[in-house]
Amino acid sequence: MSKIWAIAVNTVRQAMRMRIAVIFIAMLLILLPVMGLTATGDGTLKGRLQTFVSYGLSLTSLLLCLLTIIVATYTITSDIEHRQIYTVATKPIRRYQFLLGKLVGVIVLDAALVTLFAGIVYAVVVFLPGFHDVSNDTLRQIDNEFFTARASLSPPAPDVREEVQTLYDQLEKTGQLREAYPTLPPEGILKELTLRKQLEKRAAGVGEGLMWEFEKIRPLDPNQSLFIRFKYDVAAEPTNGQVYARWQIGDLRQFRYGMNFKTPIWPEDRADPVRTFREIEVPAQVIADDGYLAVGFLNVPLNDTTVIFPLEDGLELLYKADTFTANFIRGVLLILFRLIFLACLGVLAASFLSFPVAILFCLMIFFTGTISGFVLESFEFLSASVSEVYSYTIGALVRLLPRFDKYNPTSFLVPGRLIAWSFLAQVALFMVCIKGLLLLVLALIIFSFRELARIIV
Amino acid sequence: MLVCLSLAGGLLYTAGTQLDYINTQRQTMGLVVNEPVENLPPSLAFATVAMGAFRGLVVDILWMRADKLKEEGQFFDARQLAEWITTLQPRFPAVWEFQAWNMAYNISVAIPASQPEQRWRWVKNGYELLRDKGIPTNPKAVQLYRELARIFQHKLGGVSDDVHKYYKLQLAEAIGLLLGSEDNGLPADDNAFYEALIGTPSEWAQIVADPNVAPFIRALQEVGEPFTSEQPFVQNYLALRRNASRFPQAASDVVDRFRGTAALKRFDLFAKSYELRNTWKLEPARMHQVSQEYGPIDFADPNVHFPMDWRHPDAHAIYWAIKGLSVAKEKNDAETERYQTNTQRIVAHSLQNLFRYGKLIILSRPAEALDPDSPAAKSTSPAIPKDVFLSPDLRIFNSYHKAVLAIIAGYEDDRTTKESLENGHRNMLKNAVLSFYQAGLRGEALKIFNQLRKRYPLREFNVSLEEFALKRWREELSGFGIDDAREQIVMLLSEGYYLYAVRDDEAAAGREQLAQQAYDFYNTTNEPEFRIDLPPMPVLRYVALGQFLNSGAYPPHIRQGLLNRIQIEKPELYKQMEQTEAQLQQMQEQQGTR
Repeated sequence: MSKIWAIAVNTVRQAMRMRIAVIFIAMLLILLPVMGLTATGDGTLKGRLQTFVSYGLSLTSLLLCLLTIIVATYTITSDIEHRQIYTVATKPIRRYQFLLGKLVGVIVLDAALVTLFAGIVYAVVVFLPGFHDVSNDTLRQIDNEFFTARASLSPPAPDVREEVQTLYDQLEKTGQLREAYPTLPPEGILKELTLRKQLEKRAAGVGEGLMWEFEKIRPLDPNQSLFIRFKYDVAAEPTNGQVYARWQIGDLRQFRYGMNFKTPIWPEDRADPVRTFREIEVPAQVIADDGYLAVGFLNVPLNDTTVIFPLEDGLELLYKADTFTANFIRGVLLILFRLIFLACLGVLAASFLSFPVAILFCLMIFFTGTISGFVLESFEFLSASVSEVYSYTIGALVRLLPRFDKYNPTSFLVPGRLIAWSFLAQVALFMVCIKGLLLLVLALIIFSFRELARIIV
Repeated sequence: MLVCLSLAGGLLYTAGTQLDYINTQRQTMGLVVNEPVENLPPSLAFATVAMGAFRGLVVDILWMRADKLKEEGQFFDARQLAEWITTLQPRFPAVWEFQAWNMAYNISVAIPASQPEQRWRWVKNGYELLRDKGIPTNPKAVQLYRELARIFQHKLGGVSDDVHKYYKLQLAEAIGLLLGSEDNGLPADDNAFYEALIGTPSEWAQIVADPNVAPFIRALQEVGEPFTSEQPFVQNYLALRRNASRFPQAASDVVDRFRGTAALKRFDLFAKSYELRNTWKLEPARMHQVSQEYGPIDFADPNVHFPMDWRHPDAHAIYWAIKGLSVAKEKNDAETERYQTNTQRIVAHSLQNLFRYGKLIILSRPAEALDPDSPAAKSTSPAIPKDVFLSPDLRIFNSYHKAVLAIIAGYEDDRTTKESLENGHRNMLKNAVLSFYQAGLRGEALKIFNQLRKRYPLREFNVSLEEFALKRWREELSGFGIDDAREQIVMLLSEGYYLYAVRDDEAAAGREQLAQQAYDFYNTTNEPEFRIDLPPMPVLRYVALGQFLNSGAYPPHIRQGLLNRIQIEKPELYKQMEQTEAQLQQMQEQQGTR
């Protein structure tokens, strides 16, 4: 272990002597505070904080990723190209110890740098509101919507299997199945019918209501707010683009036993635009003692159209489940996992490629992982046959890589969403323990058999 | 190696065969800008060339981010992204158009109506992006003028947004300060004010060089900050005239010393024209021209046009649409023609809007009108200190009529467009006949009715003016969706009281007359289905007044103001009301004792 650590320490020293590392570190040291002062966002304090966290953490992550790739590949390839490895190879150090030492060095450096820069971002974010003369309402809004870690609960998709099967059989019996779906295979038809039935359960005609029930809600602070985030779709476009509604939120089971409510029921009449996310703020006291909460929606006659809540993101319940600080730390850990993976990748690339080729290889993997979501999503817009070809070739390759865009901490921290420990563990497992480790094992195998005396171009 | 080379060669060849098709598509989609880039700010010029081939890639990434954030309902970054995208693609008008529309329409409505100031910021961001950056960068892009006009007309001037009155108030308050010059005795509704603006120098250097004005400028500059340099000087002068308490006393002393002098008179006009030109991008000469062509007329002499009310969003819509049309005249391609038709429609619709809601009445809300326990009073966010009321401006009709006839004349060869324009025109004429008739301007109503009969010789118009008005009015009443005649009359009277309260006496008299006609019609009609026993008119008046005074739809100070006005200006009506109240109370007591 001491041998690995000795190489790791040496790697950190070597990295700190690299001009590029100094430039990256200097850039971050200058840019982060400047961004804190200049980020304006939409002009509100909340917008400034969101913009700063978004760009500050993204910039930190990007530059540290690039730095990790450069350091991880350079530190090994330069030792080989400058033949310094000969002096190490003659010492009682095994090749795997050499590689592991290099890797540990890069990870230690990453951990130190990410802590430093994330600390700067955190300090700016926490102290920024103090420099602004804003109302208590604004501060409360920022506390509720930004300095928070809100867990999200979505109503489960309704179980419509029986209804779908009945409908399917009925259509088949009456010979309408092939007429309605001439090109779809039976599985496709069932999928279509399921979607249709599920949407029916999420639609309310004029004068009709919908109710969603949630259980086991445990907000961190019952004196704070919870939020109902929703988005409307409509059967016919309202003339002013607005949907009028009456909401009732609370333990609606209490209605069964008269009007003496133990916990309050929150009624709200409101008008909201279609196809736009909106949030209803509700005091967390409306949650029943057993963690039950129901959300009732009434499509009032003013609307003159059926209102639909899209299946994927039509409605969700948000409540404070942890503090901003703890969430921020988990966000930083997400960045660190990404860096560890890239360090493993850099070590692998350097184990059999020369520096420029290794860098290009790593950058290609990194950028593909960064836009993997867009790439996979873009297949949906191609024709069925082309999409199938792509999804089994490029798509399969992309899926093997880590989804950096999916595990982007800013997409959680900016809207104040909780990064759950379970999510973090999942990322650690797949990105570091499986993919990273595989790369490392591959690197160790390749490096063990590599002829060091021959320079590979 | 051989395989790789063959593969590379094959791919290169395939790519080469696609090049012609791609280039044709680029031309078709208007993605190729062959016109030389002129007058671009250095930052834009640099950004468009510095990134070379990577510019497109960066723009793509920014678009993707903007679209993703919009999908997620996150708008904190939208303005910054719009700025970057437009910086990188400054000569692609669709980019400006989309970003402005996105801010004014999508982002603004994503903010709850309870935060009107936040919503307004996005609407303003939208129109300012086009007006201050998009159009100066693409002065020949007609669609940008059309989009700007549309935002003014539909978003600010329309009534579909929950907080449209807040937008109207903000616009009116912001530009209202620049309209009219007290020092020169020129009010905003006097053409002489705009003629005076046209005659003032447009550049700071010119006004500084004016020996009559220079002493005033020097005196103010001697006060020191904030009167040291050009742009802040003008803006600070205007702010000083609005609210002197925010500036050193010495600055107010300078203004007082020069009060009534030619120096202050000239500088005041210069400051206003400078601000209109530079901040609002409104040329006084064009404003005057628009007023002379589309402004409200003087009924005494229809050839005389009063200035437009530039506090009204539709006036701005007409200005920008007209400016766009003048650009379209210079260009002559199919795409411009399409935008031209839409832009002309904006002019026609804006004139229609001005006819319906052209009178903008802003009333200050007294402090006591705000209930101290109300959420608005407890909130620390800015509340609306004033109320905006809109009422019809019949003086616009002639301008509308003339403008639409000219537009229709341009589409003699295009039957579909002509028919669609004529349908709108015919409906407007039908409404105008009723509006003028109800306002007591029978002569004007008859003139319009004759024009209607002449241009659209349909059977429904082969009746007398009175019959036509009555029929139209019945249609209007049925459109209310209320079957009860009593409710219809009370509603009309109540609306009349509201108009009287906001001092639109002409319109109030129209409603009163309409209510009386409705009453007479239901009482005297020979058609049994319409014959209804109604209470006496004074009782209905009393009920309507009570309804108005107890209605939460009107601010308390407006309701109290009406009562005071009736008491002072119409004591006989007030007395009559008191008598009616006493009679009704007596009747109720009698009924109670039985």
